[in-house]
Amino acid sequence: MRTSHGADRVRRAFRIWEKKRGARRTGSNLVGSVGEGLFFTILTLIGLVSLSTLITKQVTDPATSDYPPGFGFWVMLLVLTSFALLGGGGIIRTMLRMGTSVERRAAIARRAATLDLLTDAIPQPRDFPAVPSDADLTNSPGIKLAYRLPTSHSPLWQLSAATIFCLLWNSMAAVIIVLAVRHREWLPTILAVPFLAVGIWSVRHFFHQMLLHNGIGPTIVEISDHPLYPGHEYRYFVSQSGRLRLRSLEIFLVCEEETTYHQGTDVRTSHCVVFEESLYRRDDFAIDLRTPFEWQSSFRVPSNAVHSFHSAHNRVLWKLVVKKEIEAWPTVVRSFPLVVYPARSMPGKRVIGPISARANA
Amino acid sequence: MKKTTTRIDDSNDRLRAGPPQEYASPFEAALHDAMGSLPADANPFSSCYVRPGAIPYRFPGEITASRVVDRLRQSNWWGQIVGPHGSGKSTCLATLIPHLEREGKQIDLYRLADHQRQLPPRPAAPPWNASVLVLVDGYEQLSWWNRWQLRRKCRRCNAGLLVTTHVDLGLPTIYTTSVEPSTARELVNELLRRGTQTLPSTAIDDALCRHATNLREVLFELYDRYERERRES
Amino acid sequence: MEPKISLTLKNARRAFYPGDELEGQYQVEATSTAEVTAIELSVLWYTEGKGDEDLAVHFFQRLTEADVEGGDFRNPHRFRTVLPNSPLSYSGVSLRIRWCVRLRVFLARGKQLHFQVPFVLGESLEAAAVSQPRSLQPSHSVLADSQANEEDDDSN
Repeated sequence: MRTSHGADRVRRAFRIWEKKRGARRTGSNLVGSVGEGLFFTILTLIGLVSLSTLITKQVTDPATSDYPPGFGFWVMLLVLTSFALLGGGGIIRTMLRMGTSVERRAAIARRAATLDLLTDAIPQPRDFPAVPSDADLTNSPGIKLAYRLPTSHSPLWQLSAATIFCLLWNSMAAVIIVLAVRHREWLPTILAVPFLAVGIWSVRHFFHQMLLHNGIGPTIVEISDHPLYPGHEYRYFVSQSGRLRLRSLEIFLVCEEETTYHQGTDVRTSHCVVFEESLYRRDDFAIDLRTPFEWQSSFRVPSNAVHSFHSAHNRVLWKLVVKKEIEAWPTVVRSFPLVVYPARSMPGKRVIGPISARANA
Repeated sequence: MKKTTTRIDDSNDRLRAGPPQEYASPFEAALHDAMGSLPADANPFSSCYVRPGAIPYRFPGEITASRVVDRLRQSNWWGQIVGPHGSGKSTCLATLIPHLEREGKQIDLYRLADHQRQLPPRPAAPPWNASVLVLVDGYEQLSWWNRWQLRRKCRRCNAGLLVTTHVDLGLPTIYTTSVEPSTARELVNELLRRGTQTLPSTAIDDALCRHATNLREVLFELYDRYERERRES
Repeated sequence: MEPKISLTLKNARRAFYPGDELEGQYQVEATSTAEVTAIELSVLWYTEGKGDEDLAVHFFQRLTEADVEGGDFRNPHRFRTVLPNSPLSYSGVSLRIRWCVRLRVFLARGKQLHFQVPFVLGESLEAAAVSQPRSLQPSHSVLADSQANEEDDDSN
């Protein structure tokens, strides 16, 4: 008897165990990732809480400690520390893998196999002084186009930081509360209240970051070639995943001047947009987890564009900006830096050194 | 071949192209000497033209740099310059330096910024002694412990100490900086004379009203306004 | 008598492109050879604008008494360098990139004098501010990864 597609999905999502078939899984990726995350979280909590208890007991009441200083104590310390480290590393790894497809992981692995370690270890000659290196922008292969651009501020680090802080703080808070309740000492009792308050805030913050990360989903931008040159055309690809109802999504090519000045003891940074071109806009549409938004087109760098520039206090920055106005969320703006080199050809110009574009992945 | 020849002006150690000019005030002359002739598209409110040391500090009334140095000498070469943000403390300090050097003082200058809580180490700096005057721009940045240590070291070495600070930190106050609207307006007008663009007087007045005691903010705002006027004209 | 300094560039237009040769000569006509102790010539770029100045020297030449015949700086000295690919001259809103040849003369008793001749490298690019950039303007509160407006990191 044929079952409906919806029933299949529900069954797959709630499968308790799954079968691995080569590199594929039969269960839901999201549920698998969540399960993996829970496992590592529990491992970390066990490690941190036990470690805190062990150390606290040694400090406050060594006479009644189950592990007096000696071989047993150090073994226990090592075991519990490894729990905490393995668990913490697992959480971070799980979050990094969440949302990345198997094709992307394969592309990275394929690129790793083609790396020429000797060439990459030798610094490239500086043919364009004061123009920032694009090495960080071209070390990540794309799926649709040659390069995947990193975002200027990765939202993942915020989630990682919130997670680590939440775990550490709440472990300490748990130990202090246990001491306050069991031993009824004045110091732990006084400390318990602020620790608990911060702990509750950290849990709320963690869930907020988790919702942001998973609810909004990553924005992926890929480009056909890099670095860019004035007067040339390049293809770009944008993908946005998540479960969102968007009022609008707009993609811009932006050039911005950034200047930093010290005046007396004050330090200020000023930003001034000197070029902005809207490349794409779409209004009133929805994205769900199974059908991410995807768009591919091309843009041209203006022929009289200033090249990217980087000095100690002054910069000229080019970037692709994806701006999303989401219902029930604040507006999200994600920037993807680009590097524009000086024009390849100018009247009478003789460029010294090689300017050949990098090979496509 | 294009040849450019210039003469040297010994009085202020700067080269000046072209014949000598008449100036409305000694301050304007000093400003011209400090800034020289600007490129055609230059903004006279750029940081290089208005930063401390780039333009001379204008003392109000009968006060002169020499009198301020006299006060410092009378307080045994210990003192502080107090004033709010953007009132010209760093500029005042920079203006005093040549006068202090003429008094035979060897200057050891520290400019603190960015939450700098202690003096940066300087292995190559000359040892402090009675002929050395230690200048600290941004004295309030130091932690109280580092301030105490600095004073102690200066006392032990017999070195002088002159600092800038936003609040009174216990040293003899030799000068208090403040922004007089008339002085600020005069400075802005003289800066504008160096450029090629004019600004409406309302723009200048608005900026002065908005940032009453902070001349630095006035100059920053006028930078943006000057750019807008230049593009529109 | 005051010493005179001359600095000349071969290209009267003072406009160059990457890879071009920048050539010129300089001369200090001092009354006494003891007045001048050293001369430095630099080909450099510097920034000008709202931010603190940055500077980088592309070509540098220093002459001391030992480097000149008889310790006499009055003879003309030539310099030549190939200009780099970047940074190109730029006139922006809060930032300008300028190139120049700068001559610094060191005199006796610690005095210094400097003079510079500007030139343009490249097409002298210009830019104007976008008055209300839509890429950075939210309809309401922003959860931005990049900062749109001036930051104030006032240490006080």
